[in-house]
Amino acid sequence: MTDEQQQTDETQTPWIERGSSLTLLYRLLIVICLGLLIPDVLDLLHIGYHKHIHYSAEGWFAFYSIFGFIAYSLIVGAGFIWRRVVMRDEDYYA
Amino acid sequence: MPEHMPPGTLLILGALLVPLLRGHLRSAWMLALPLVSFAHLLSLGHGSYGEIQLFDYHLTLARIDKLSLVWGYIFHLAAFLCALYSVHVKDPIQHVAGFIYAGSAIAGAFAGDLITLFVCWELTAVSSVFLIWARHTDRSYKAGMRYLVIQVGSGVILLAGVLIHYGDTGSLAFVHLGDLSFTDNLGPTLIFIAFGIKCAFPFLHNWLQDAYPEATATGTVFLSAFTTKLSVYALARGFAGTDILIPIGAVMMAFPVFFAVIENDLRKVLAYSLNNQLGFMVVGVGVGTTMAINGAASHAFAHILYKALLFMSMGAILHRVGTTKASELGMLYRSMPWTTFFCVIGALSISAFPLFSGFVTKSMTLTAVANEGWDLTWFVMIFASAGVLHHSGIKIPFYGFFGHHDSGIRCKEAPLNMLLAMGITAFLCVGIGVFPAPLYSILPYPVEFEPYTASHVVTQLQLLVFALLAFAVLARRHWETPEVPCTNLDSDVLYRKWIPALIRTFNGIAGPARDDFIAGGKRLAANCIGYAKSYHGPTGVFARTWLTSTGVLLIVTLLSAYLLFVYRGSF
Repeated sequence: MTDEQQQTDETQTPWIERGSSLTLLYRLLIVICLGLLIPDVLDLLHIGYHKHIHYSAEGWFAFYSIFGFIAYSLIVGAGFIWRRVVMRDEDYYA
Repeated sequence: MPEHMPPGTLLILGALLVPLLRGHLRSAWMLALPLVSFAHLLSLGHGSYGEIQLFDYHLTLARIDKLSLVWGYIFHLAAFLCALYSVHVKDPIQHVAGFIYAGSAIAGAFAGDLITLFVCWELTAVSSVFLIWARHTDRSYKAGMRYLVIQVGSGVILLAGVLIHYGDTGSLAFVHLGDLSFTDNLGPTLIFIAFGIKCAFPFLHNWLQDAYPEATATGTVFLSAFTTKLSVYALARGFAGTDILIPIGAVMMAFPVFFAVIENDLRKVLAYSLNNQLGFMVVGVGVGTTMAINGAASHAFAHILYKALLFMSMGAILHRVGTTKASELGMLYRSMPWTTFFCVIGALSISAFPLFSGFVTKSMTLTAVANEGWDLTWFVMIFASAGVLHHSGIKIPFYGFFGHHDSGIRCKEAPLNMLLAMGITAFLCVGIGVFPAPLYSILPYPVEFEPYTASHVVTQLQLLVFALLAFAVLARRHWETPEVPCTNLDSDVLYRKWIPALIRTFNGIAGPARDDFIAGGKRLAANCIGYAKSYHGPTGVFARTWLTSTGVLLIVTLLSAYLLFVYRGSF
């Protein structure tokens, strides 16, 4: 496939499905995540934002960010193991 | 309109007219019924209605107060949305079943005594099973039978508990029922178990994931709204502040996450998600403070809407494509852009993003749990929130409408009435998220909670957006559990596979011994019969025809012997 053909396919594909768009969205997401860490920096420096906490762990820098990332990854990782235990053929009960 | 008719009965009676109507008249009637029933509810003030004496029992058919009204309002709203969503369906059985089901759930939420609750409890079970059977497949028939057995079984346990409780206390009032104890308070304990079955407690839950995905496209939307939420209400009424509910709820929040991540059928994913959401409400009821009960009630209200919205979007796919298996879908957003949009609204709501309904309701329970010092439960709730984002926030819209490949399926957008129902529901999800005050004003207790603080918004966004980042990182590397056609074992494997297999194995081992025992018994019986027959049979000695002279000789001989015996001393 020539570069020209590839470019034509790329333009015919809906925007949301293009590889370049997905990369753009991915980078945008990283930027948003970095932006969401700013309040924790401000809290650390006691500038304008104070995190309301019930437990001391909540006060750690980026607690919720790290918890969210790790919890999601753990759930997906656990899925691989759990599937080995409980997955059967589709017609198992047939 | 009878003034003291209990709320919900108009829906039940009105349902009976549906099969007699056709076309637009039927549609108009279906849409008007929930509105008329709602107007009837509004016309009734707080208090007790329909107090009757049945044999020795004093029944209160309806008791209207702030707690029951929350469920009354949302059940009516759900009935209307479900009616609008299913108005295109030609099968009158589904409409009749749906309205009787909704009506009995409403009547159950207002039941003032335990016998009325039992009747409504069973009526919801019997009516709702027709929404499963209406699919007219072998799988749906069998799933419906299992569902019916478990639901009716729950009712039987409830009745047993009610009668024991009545015997112990002489009261049928549906109020707080006291502590749980099999020895000292058996009645309420049995009632608690009955509620737990309908609320899908761990190991009592699998009827939900078994039956709901087998119902019709529209039937599952009805099912998602009423049964489990009626049981949450029943727990809030009868067992608020019962500590055991907190660990039960925590387990309910956590375990469905691991099943949802590997499930291929997206309606089953939503059924697991429903189970997970019930966990939040059960924890709220267990904590039992005014803020926690408000949290459970408001969460139930918001949950009915966003869960219905998600089931509606999957129902639209089922209606157009014929399946909701993730492995067979992909890029449906091209054909169903509006349905995709509404599904994303539902996903954002259930994930509790700020400005959506989950954010302003779920956080109330979280705060109540933290305030009461249930540390581990609080962490489980945070973990479960990330889990909700995974299975309902990302998996449902992503695999339902986008996916990694184009399935090649091109279909029409969902019918107009389905889109309207989804649109109104989505509007309410956003409306509650942006303006929570109207919802807070109908909660059982005064609300002293502000959801939109900078800290709450930021921490919630951090949790969710970083979880989203984890999804993006894993998806770019294809480190996801692949969507493949499969069956995942859950607790129903016990009664669907393992116990029947155990019985077959037992029969295999004990069968020959049992056969020998039966054969030996038969031989013994045959010998006894043969022995008796040899004397009493047609050729037996006692069956012979004797001569009269022989008889006389026998009698003379016997009398002579008797004479000699009596007078033996005289000789």
